[in-house]
Amino acid sequence: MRAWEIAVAAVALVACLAVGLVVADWLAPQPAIGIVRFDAEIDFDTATPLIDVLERARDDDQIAAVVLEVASPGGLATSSESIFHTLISLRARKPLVVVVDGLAASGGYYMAVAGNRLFAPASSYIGNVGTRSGRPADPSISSDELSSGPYKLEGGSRFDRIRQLQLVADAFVTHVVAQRAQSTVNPLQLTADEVAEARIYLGSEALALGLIDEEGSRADAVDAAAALAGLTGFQTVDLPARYGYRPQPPQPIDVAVAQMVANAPPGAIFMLDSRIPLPANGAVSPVKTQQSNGARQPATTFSSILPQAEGSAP
Amino acid sequence: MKPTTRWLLIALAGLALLAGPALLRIYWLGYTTRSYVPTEQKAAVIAATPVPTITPAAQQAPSAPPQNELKRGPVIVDLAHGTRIARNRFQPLASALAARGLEVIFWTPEFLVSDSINPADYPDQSDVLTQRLVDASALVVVSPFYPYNSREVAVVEKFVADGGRLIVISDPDVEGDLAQDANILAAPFSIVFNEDYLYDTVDNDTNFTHFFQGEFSDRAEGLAGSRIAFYGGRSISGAMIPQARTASTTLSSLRTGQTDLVTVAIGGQVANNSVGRVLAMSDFDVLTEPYVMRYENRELLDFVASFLTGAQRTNTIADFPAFLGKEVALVIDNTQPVGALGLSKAAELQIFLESTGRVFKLAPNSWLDDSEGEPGVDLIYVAGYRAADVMTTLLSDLGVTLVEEVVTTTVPVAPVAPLPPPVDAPLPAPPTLPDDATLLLPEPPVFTTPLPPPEMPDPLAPPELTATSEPDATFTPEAPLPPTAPGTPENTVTVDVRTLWLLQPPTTPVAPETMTPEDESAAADAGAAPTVTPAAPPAVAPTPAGEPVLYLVREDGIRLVADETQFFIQRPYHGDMRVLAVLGNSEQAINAGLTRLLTRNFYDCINQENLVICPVMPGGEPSLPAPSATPAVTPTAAPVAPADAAPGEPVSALPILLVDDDSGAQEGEESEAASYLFALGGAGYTVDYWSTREQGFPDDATLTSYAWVIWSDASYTASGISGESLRLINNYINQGGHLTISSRMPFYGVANEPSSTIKDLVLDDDIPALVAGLPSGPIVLTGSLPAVPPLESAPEPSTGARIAMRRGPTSGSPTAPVLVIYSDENFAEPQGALLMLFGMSVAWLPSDIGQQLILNMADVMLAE
Repeated sequence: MRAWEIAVAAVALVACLAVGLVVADWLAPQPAIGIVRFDAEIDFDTATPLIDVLERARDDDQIAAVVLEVASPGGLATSSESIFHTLISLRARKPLVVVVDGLAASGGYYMAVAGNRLFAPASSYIGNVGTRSGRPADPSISSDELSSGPYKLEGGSRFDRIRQLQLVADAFVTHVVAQRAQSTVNPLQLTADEVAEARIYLGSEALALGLIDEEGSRADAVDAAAALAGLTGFQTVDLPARYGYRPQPPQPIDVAVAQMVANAPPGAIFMLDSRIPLPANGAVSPVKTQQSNGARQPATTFSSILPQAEGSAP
Repeated sequence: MKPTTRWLLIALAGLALLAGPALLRIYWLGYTTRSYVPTEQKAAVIAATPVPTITPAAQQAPSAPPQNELKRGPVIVDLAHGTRIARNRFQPLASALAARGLEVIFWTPEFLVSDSINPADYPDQSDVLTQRLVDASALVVVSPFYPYNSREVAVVEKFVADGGRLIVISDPDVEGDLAQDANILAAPFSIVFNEDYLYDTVDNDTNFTHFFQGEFSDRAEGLAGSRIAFYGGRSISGAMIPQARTASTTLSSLRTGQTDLVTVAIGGQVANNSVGRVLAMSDFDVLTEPYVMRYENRELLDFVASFLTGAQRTNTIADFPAFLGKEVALVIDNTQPVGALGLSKAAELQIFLESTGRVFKLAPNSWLDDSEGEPGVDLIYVAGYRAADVMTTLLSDLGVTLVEEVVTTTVPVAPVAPLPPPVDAPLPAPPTLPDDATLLLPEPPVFTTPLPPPEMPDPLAPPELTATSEPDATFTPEAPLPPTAPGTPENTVTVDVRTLWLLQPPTTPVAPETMTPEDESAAADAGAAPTVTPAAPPAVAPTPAGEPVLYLVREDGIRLVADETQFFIQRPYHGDMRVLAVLGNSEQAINAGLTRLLTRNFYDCINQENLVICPVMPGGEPSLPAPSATPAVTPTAAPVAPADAAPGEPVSALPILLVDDDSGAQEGEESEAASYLFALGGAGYTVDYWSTREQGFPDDATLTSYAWVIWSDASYTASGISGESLRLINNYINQGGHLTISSRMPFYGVANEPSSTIKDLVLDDDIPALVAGLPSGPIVLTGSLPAVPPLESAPEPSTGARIAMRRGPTSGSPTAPVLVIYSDENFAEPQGALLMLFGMSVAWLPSDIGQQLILNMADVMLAE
């Protein structure tokens, strides 16, 4: 065999190997566990990117499982529900493991219960299943506007609003009970009425009551996701970065909540940690407290109850 | 190997390399294998039936108009303590009360309420509240944002003791509601709201905080079986009678493990005569739309309205015209002609009475005779003492006779300034006349000169109220009686110090030289200052010799100077007829009495249910409001009268003009001028009072006729010297006048600095006479005081400014002057002018210090 023949053969074989590797990577890429962190209040602005990321992960063949890291006091009810249903859709295709980083209250817990597994540290805050809203107004007529029906301007009577608040809460409770009751690891120990009391539990209490599956952190969640996906070799990827989403700079939660309330539709129902005062018209409302002896100052600020996250999403 | 074979093998190898990695990943590493099998998700059922449209039901037929003959006192709804409830939410309650003939009046604050007001600084409204409650049937207080202060609570206690009804509601879902604030008002009636909220997750009206009542009792027993929900409420405890309790499934957010919690209760105490007159509730929403229309909540509203309707006020004279019936006739003394002012007062009376549903008419004096009066018609009798004594038995039934005597000398008597007693001394209660209007004081001694000075009662001890016919042996005059002028034919002393007790309690310690050992002991026990108290000047202006003076002499010996006394008597007269008599000794005094009656201003009077005795102020009309109640500081010593005042003589004959610049005063604001008037008048100075609201500004000639002019407006919100007052003051000073400006904004000498609150004062030694007798340490001011602009810290030297008092270290702008005197002594042509600036109100000082300061001011301003 002449030398040039040997060279040609070698080049051809190397080329085949290279192409083969490329084709293999295209046909059978190494499976990945996508990680997405959500550490904000839930509103239209924060829910939409998360939903986009989750939907793309669902359709991404390389993403074998998703780990959702939650640190949220909740927020708008409708956005919380949208995230919940997106996660349920994802879970129908791929394992979804949720890990709570400090706080998953109200709407935050709503998204958490969608996972196949739910991890939380012992000191995290879990639960607060319920709804809130501003006090409804009575129907009225406008001095400069005509309307076609008795409830056109207000949308219903005061008691319609009160009842609707309860109906949204009922749906929330129903989904929480349904999800947690199906847990194969640590099923729910509470009745629906007990869940509806909207208590906030510590992670250790939540574990005893079946509100979470296990005590653990993100690493535990990744392992659980890999196990659920049947992966032995895998990589982890940051899903927002993978899909080109830039994380928004964090802002003080009381400011964020005030903005959320200001941008919320009229009569909006919230699934928000009950320890956070619900501002009126976007501004933090002065509240007379016993401690202040009547002097005006905001009640509890969120920053005082939320453990500070040590890092943002990778 | 053939080349063909060799190249074929190479091609196969290439193919293997091409497909190998993929096959390796797929079949060996299993990269494409997914073992995850989603669990089947059970669908949660969340479908809910929308709220159906309510089936219309006919409203109950409105009740018939109330049949009350007389308009009943209104129900006052307190919105003056920042309650965060709109007025329209009281409509159902107002409607229920209207059906019972009661009107709802909202009491709103008379000042601008800022959101930044600290509750400790919220203004005291006790005086306004007193006025509001004069004829009220009930008071409704719902979740006060700013708590009641102790004076306001005292007013409410008195109102309830007087038969008024009170509802206190602490609703946890009203903004700013704190049980602890409502408890300030509720606790005196043995009611305590707990700082919890109640909830029921089992049986509720669409929300867990909308719980049902489970049991009704006592007066609410009629509601038993009714399904009544509260829409956010808290539990009530205390020594009260429960009216409603929650269902057994209702729980408390704080009082865990308890059920059957009280949500409606009736409280009250025997001690403050309020038993059964105070209703406490922990929800207000149930009384409002739309909640009141749910279930049988309407019945609770009716229960509340009925409770409020049950008020039965004691119809004292201060409650005028509650004592009188449907038809009222005015009987005017026919021995004197009626002037324009009298007609005007009668017209006011008519309007007032008709506004209460009464029929007004005029009647002749003969109606006072039992044979002439019209059945069912009550009388308002307006007359002088002499006419009343002749026409009626009103005075004689009280044991009062008219005695006219000729006074031949001026007798110094106890000072009448309303000075509080020395610290720790038991406050000598003003002698309360018994209900039968018979004073049981001992017979007064009749003094004749040259008898040795008789003893007068210890002013530190309450007056003797037991009946005795013996002269009181402990009487000790506070000042030696001056000898009667030689050659005076009459030498009977006609003034009894105890008469003055009825007007103002004497409090000046007894002069040591006239003290009995018992007196000294009592004074020492009471902490009285051991200083010698100079003889006090007479409270009664010297009477020229030979001028007859009319006295109202009671059978027990008490003598009242008729010219200075008003009588208000209400009583049944001739069977069913009721008479309210307004008596005085002049048309001016009678008109002033009618003004009192119409304004129900009896603050400075001795009040009993059926008899009120009032002083007649100079000028007749009771234009001065009650002395300020703000500085509630126990005095430490009685003020020291000017040292140069000789015993038995007026302190100064120089006239003083006290200008009360009240033209910009708001309704209900107290006058600082009252403090000056009482202090100076009580010390014997001749003070002319001038109200700019009533009399306009005094002209230049008027001002220059006085040795000292006090221009006072510091207690008014609209305090400040400007415009016409500034022009007048300028002219007066330029003519060498002595002027004191007591104002928050005295115009002169005001620094260009922001206003700040004065919390304490310290003395400066520039003018020792001005601070004599004042405490050397910081004088702490209490109460909620407004911010005032500080005075100039470094006055121009040419003005001869001397500073007597400065702001203390805890005040805003510390060390800024508060009391400064300017003079024109350094001017090219000095006129002897003195300008004293006091950049705050003397009424803000503790009363004893304020009075001492005023006397010092007089000493300094009248010295030259």
